[in-house]
Amino acid sequence: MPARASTIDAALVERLLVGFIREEVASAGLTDAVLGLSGGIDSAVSCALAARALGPEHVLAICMPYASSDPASERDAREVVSNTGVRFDVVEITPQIDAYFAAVPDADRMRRGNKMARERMTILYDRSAAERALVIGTSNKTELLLGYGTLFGDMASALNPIGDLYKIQVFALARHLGLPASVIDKPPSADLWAGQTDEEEMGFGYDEVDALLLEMVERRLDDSQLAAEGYDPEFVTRVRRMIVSSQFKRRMPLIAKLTDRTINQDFRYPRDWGR
Amino acid sequence: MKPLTVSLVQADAVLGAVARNLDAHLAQVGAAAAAGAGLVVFPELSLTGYVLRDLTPEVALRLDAEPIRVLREASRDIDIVFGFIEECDDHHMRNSAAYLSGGEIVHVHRKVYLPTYSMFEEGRYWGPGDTVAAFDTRFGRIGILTCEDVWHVSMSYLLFADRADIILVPSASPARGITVDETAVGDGGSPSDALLLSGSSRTWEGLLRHQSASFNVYTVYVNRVGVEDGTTFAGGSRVVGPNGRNLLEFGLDAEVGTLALDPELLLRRRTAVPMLRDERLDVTLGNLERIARSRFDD
Repeated sequence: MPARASTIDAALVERLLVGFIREEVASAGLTDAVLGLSGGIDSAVSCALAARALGPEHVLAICMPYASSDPASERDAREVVSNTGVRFDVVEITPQIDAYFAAVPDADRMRRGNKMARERMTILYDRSAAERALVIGTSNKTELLLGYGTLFGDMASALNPIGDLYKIQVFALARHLGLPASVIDKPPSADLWAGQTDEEEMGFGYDEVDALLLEMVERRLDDSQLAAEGYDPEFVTRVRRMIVSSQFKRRMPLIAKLTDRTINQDFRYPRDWGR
Repeated sequence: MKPLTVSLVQADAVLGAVARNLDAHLAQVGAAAAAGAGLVVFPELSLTGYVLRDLTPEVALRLDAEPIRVLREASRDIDIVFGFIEECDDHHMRNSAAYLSGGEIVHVHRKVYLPTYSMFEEGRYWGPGDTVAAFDTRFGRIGILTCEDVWHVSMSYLLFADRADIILVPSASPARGITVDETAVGDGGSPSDALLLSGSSRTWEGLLRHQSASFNVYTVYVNRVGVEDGTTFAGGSRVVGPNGRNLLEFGLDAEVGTLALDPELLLRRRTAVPMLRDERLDVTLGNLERIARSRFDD
């Protein structure tokens, strides 16, 4: 794939996403946003965009570490705060997570990680109500496609500015936005335990999987065409399976159809209805 | 054609809020008249917003509805093109654009091609029009094509054959295409190549310039801006001269511009390149009939 086919026009993307946040927050009749700031690149980009859209004083970034989170993460989050000028808070989630898992000591890392992600979500939505602020999402297109996120956890938001950008494009936007090098240069991590990295856990790199996703999703190449382009068939199969098996995470819950006006099937209104 | 000063209103709309949008129209109409324009053009569905889905029947207007009467009154000073959902006599809803002048409805264009693919679902909610016709105005012969209509070259060809001097294109086209491959500016011909525009706007630019150059018409393209349900409308409104060159071009922000369209340019172009004079309608018709027959036979 030629590099130009994935290289974003970062100034255009910034303009579109700043406009998106500004107008959709205003459509909700609000002026403020709240988001989780992990110290990673995705939330840093969402934070910088929200600050530019609404003014930094209208954005509340909350860092929500657990006992096993890398202390460097909070430091990086604070760097993003000084870079963007947004309001900042730290809410430890260790007490409530430990209280829950005291009763289920055999829970594995996935259950613990999902619970933490959902705990953070409840905090963001609670602060959303308290501050009259919309929750801004921080899931990129790569992880949304691969299902590398927690349903109703980090995937929950009112507005997601970066959900149509692949991870490599998020990096490019982060550089354009002038975010701190410490955030851009470190390996992406869900930070559920010290030393965890996305790429090690998934077993492939973002460069590699984004190149494939661009061909598979954007250009709609099939398996034989991808093989002809030099992609390892096993890798292709694995990625395709991840996309298909996580489809449920990208849709609203199924509603059993009984009437002629089932919500979202034949009761179809814009989200911005009446705004 | 006669000299025409046209105002392009590249504006947002409030989804489903006809009364609020009507107020905004009246303000823009007043400003355009004050700026000396003879015609003011609004985007597609300017009175209702675009992503209506099941709001369609709630915002639909019959041609004798009060908001349209109000706009007709406003057209005593300046001609107006605006977009709305029309409840037609058959009680089906259509995506319509009306040309108002002197307090009357001069012409209604009902969008013929309703995109119902990729992100678009127009054919689900609206019925298609089936007529494309140029009409006489105090400025000359004008035709209207709504957004997707332009992607079917038969539509602009029909207006060309119907001797249109000016093609007005109200549009609600979303911004898509963010890679440098897609947003790259082509061969110039633009007064402001540095404008921030999406890949889809660059595609539109190509289509509109081709339309004007092929058919020796002025093209006045007025697109929406703003965001509805996460989709940003791409702006990029423009005026293209009958030689295919950009005469006016907007970016992604709300903007109003006024430009004088000179009949002299049309005369010069049609003298140099007499496409309309030489056009063989009999060849087109004969071959279309042959093709239609062969497709039926298949």
